[in-house]
Amino acid sequence: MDENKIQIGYGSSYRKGSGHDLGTRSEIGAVLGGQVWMVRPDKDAKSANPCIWMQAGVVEFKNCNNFYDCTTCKYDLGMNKRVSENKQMSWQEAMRKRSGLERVCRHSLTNRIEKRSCAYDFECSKCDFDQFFEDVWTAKTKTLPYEMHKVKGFDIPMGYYFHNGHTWVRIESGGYVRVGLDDFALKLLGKADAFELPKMGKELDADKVGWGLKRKDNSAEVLSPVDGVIMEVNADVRENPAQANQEPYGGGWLFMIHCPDIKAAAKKLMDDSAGLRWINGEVGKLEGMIEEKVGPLSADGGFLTNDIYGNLPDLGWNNLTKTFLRT
Amino acid sequence: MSKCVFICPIGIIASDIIDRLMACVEERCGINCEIYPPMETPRYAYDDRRFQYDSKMILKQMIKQCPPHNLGFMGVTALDLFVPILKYVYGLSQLDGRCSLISTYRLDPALYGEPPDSDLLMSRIGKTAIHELGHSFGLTHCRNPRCIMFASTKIEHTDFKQPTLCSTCLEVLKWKIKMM
Ligand SMILES: [Zn+2]
Ligand SMILES: [Zn+2]
Repeated sequence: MDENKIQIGYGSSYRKGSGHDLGTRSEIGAVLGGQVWMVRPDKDAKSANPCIWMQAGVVEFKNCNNFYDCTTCKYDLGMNKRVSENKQMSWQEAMRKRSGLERVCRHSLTNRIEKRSCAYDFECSKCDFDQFFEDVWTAKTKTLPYEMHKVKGFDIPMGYYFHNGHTWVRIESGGYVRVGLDDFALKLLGKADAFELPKMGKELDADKVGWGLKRKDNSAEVLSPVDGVIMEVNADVRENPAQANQEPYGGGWLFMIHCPDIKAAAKKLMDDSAGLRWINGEVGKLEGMIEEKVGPLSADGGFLTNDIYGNLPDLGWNNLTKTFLRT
Repeated sequence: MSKCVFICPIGIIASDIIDRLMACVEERCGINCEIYPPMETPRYAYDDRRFQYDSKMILKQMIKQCPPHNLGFMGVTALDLFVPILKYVYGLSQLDGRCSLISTYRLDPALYGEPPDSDLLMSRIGKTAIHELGHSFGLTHCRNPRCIMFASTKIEHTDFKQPTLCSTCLEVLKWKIKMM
């Protein structure tokens, strides 16, 4: 257990994503020719994700490029090797040299939590808080997207990844990703009566059916966006499925997966600009299907309702799940 | 009497809005307008879950009461309208039919927290009305965002439009009228 703890201990939970999320923004406006507009401007996003080695003052400048998953980080591995060869001071050692007040927890150092001092001499594997933080706090605590775009009334958060079966993925830390259903799918199918979520410990395969949802006599299967093992399931959503519709990208998350190779998984998913382009195409496809059913829309007005299937069952449940969830 | 467009107030609506709308259609389209006896608030169309009125139910009622020998029969209401699939509706019409219906509810700057501005309100009402008349003369939506036949999903779209047809839509309209 202790060994395992050390293994997962040194990733620091932090705001999702990397500098890359913010770098592509100028592209986004160009992609959809003005159809995208910003809803919540980013107030305090930082374009750099500081590495723990930099925050401890051991190295001058280092950005995290491994989603704060130190266990799979080549840089961290290399640094630790140098430490064991006595060529380098460890970040823990550097922190121990600080005066009392500045000996802050590594989770504060990477800006995830309020300033909190370390009581365990930077031996995180012995720290109850660290254990709690990694295993419980991170999983249970929702965080909201720092920036949201809208495509014809559908929300698309920035800094998330999308799978073409309408699930989203947010990379947390330590090899964890959070998964949910996107706003488009939730509005398309309306409020579910129940989510049939996988149990903890279940293994999921990317692009294979991983879980499902039910609405009255209809059910839908949903593809898993990544490979990995279920670590946590959102009990709130299980009890109150409407929570997913209320806050698809926050409190409506569905489960956490431990993913063996996050970088490889992220590469197969759509990032901000690809996601926007894709959702725009999906809305167009849906508009075409609606027009086929009701004829050319002679009504001029606002966006599609929050329960598209419920208001136009003629679209056909199975037709919708086949087209958009790809199951 | 030459053919005209009948304008029918539905529910409570200020009479000067109706007067100014008729003047606007006459001036812009060169079509005579006549006022039609008002209809009562269409309680049958109220949806108490959405707190809005089902625009298709009202349009059906209008089709039943449509007076003969006219160019168009347009209902004007201050009630908030919807169709089931959309969150709200500015207006709707029978494609290639004579009946149409517009709502001023979401055209009012006050709804968006802006100061009252009757010129802006009337400009929006005029654009919406001519757009729906365009539909009843058989025009479909235009891709040109400056053309009055562009589909508005937000009020910004309506404000961006010019109050006239683009040259392509104008040609189509002339052809449609010739065929009538
Ligand atoms: Zn239209
Ligand atoms: Zn046009």
